[in-house]
Amino acid sequence: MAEFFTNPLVQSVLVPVAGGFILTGAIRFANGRAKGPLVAGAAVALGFLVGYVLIVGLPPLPPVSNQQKLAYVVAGGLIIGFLMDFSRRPPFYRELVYIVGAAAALYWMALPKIAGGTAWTYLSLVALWIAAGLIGYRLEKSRANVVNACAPLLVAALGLGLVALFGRTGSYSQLAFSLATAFGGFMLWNWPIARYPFGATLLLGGAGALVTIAYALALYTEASPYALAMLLLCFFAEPVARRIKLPAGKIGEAFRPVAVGAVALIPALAAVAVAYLTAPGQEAGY
Amino acid sequence: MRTRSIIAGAAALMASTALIGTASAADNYKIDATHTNIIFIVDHLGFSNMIGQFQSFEGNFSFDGKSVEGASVKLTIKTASVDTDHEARDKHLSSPDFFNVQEFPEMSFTSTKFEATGDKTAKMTGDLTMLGVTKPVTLDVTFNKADKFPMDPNVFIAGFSAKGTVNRQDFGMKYAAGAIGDNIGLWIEAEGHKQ
Repeated sequence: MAEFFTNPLVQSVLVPVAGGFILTGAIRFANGRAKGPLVAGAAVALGFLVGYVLIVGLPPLPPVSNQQKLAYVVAGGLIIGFLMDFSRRPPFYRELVYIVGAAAALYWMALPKIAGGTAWTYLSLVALWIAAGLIGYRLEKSRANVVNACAPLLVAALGLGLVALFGRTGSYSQLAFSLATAFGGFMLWNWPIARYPFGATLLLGGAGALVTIAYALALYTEASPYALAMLLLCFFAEPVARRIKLPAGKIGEAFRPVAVGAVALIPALAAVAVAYLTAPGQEAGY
Repeated sequence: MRTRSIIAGAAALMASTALIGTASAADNYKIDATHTNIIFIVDHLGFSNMIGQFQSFEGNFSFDGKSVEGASVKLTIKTASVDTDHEARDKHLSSPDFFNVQEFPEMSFTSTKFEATGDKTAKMTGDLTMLGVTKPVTLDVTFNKADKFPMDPNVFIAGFSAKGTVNRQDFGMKYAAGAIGDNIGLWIEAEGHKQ
C-alpha cells in the first residue's frame, strides 16, 4: 500500500484529482445550502496539500526550506480565504489580502536572496510581485464564470509542471501537476454548469499556490525565466476566447471555458517549448 | 601543614604543565584540497550504486599524532560543486529536489567526539549540517600517516580516511524516496598540511 502512494502518478494526479473532486462535494454539503457553495473551492488547496504531503512529506514547523514554506503559504491562504468567503466579505477585501499576501509570501520566500541581493535581485522581486498582481487582476475580471477563471489556472499549472521538469526540479514539477489536477477535480463539479463562485478561497488558496510555486521556481531553480514569464499570458486567454464565435445559449455557454482553456494552451505550449529548448544538459539525455 | 601545601602546589603545577603540554602538542592542519576527496555513494533504483563527489570545500583538523581523543575536524563544503560526471544529473542534484544549492550553498561538518577503537582507528562523531538541518553523524576514521613530505621537508602532512552512512531523509532530502537510496555512503580521503 505504501508503495502505491510513492508512485508519482498517484501523488500528482490520482490523489489530488480525487481529493479535489470528493472534497468539493464534501465541503459544499458540510457547509449547507447557503454557505457551502461559497467555500467549496477550498477543495483545490486541500487537494493540493494532500498531494504535497505525499510528494514532499509533512513540513516541519518552522519550515527550513522554501518548499516547506510553500505548504504554509497555501494553508494560510486557504484558511484566510475560507474565513472571508464564509463571512461574505466584499471583493475589495480578498483583492487587498491577495496583493498584500503575494508580497508577504514573496518576501518570506526570497529572504535568503534579499540579504546581499543586487539591484537585479530587487528588480526581479518587483517583477514577480507585479506578475502575481496581474494574475489576480485577470482572475477577478473573469470570475463571473468560475470555470473561465479556473481554466487558465489549470493550464498554467500544467505548463508550470513541465517548465519545472525541464528545469530539473522534479518535486516542484509534481507539485504543479498536483495543483492542476486538484483544479480539475473541482472543475468537474462546475462544468458544463458553473455551480460555485470563484471567491477568496480559490483566489488565496488555489491561485496563491500557483503563484508561490512560480516564485520558488523563479528564485531557486534552473527553470527558464522566459518560459515562466510566457505562462503569464495564459491569464489573458479569456478576453481572446470571448472573440471566438460560439453557438448562443447553454451549449455556447458550456463551451466558453473550453475555448478559454484552448487559448490558454497556446502560450503554455510555447513556454514548455522554450523550457525544453533551454533546458540545462538537455543534450545529455538525462 | 606547610609540607602539605608545598606538595599540593607542586601537584597543581605539574597538572597545569601537563595540560599545557597536551594542548601545545595538538597540531593544526589545513585540508589540502588537491589530495582530498569527499565522495558519496547512493543506490540507484537497486540497479547500481552511483558515485559522486564534491569538488569545492575547505577545512582544518587538529591532531597530536598520539591520542585521538583531543582531535577535532571542521569541514565546509560548497554544495554547488557536486559532481557525478554528468552535467544534467549534477543540475538535478543541485535543485531543490536534492542539495538545493541556491538556498543552501554550504554544508558543514564539525566533530564533537573521538573514540579510539584501535591503534590507528577511531569513531568520529560530529554535527553534519545539510539543507539547514543539523544532525549527529558518526564516521569510522583510520589514521594513515603523518610525516614530512618527501619532496619538501618543510611541509609536514597528516592523512586519514573516513567512512560512514547518512540517511538523507533525516535532513529533509525526501525526493524520489524508495527509488533513490535513503542511506548515502560517505567516503572521505583527506590530507592536511601542518600550519
